[in-house]
Amino acid sequence: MAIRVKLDDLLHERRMTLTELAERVGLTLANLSILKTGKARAIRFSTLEAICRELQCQPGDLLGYD
Amino acid sequence: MPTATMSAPRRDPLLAAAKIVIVLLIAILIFAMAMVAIGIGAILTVGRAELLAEIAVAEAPVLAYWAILALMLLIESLLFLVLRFLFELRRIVLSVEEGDPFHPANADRLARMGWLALGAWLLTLPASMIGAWLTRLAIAAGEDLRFEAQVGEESLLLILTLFILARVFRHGAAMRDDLEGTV
Repeated sequence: MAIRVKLDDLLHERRMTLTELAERVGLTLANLSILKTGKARAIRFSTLEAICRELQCQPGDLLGYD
Repeated sequence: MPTATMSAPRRDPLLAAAKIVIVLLIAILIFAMAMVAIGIGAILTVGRAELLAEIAVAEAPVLAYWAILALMLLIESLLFLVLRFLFELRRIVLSVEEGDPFHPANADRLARMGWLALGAWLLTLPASMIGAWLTRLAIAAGEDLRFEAQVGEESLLLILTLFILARVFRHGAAMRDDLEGTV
C-alpha cells in the first residue's frame, strides 16, 4: 500500500513532456523526475498547485493510493 | 567579470582556526604519548632499579613504584582517549566545511566523543586518587612533587552535552533527508 504519483499518465494524456512541464512549473527536471518515479518523500503545496495549474487537473488526479 | 577571489572557495576563519588548533593539539598529544610511553618503558627496564632506590631512600613503600607505573599507564590511556576525541572532532569540522554537517555519521561521531569523554572522566578518578597518595608520600619525604588530576563536574556536563548533541544531529540528519526528498 503506497501513494502512487500518476504524473506519467497525466503527461501522456496531455501530450506533454516532463521537460516542458519542468519549465512551466519552474522545477528542475531532476526534481520532477524524482516526483514522477515515486521517489519523493514529500511534495510542497506550491509544487502541487503549479502542476495542477499547468496540467489543468485536481490534486486527486495526480496522486493515488493503492 | 569573474575574478580569482570569486572563483576561490569561501574560507571560514573559524573553521580554519579550529582545524589548526586541532592539528596542533593532535601533534602535542602524539608527542606526549611517545614521551609517556618512553617513561613507562624506562620505569619497567633501565630506570627500575634507580626508581626503587629513590623510593627506598624516601622511606616510601614499594607499592609507590607500582602506583607511579599505574599512574603513567592511566595518563597514557587518557591521552589516547583525548587523541581519539580530537580525531572525531576534526572529522566533524571537515564535514562542516564540506557543507554537510547534518549527517548520521556526525551523530555517531558525537556519540563516540561522548563515550570517549566519559571514559576519560572515569580514568581521571583513579588517576586523581593515585596522584593524591603519591603527593602525600612526596610531601612526607620532603620532596616538592605534586601529582594533580582535576575531576570536575563540568566534564560531566560536557559528556551530557555531547550525547544530547548526538541526538540533535541524528534528528537533523533525518530532517535533512526529508528536505532532500521534498519536491
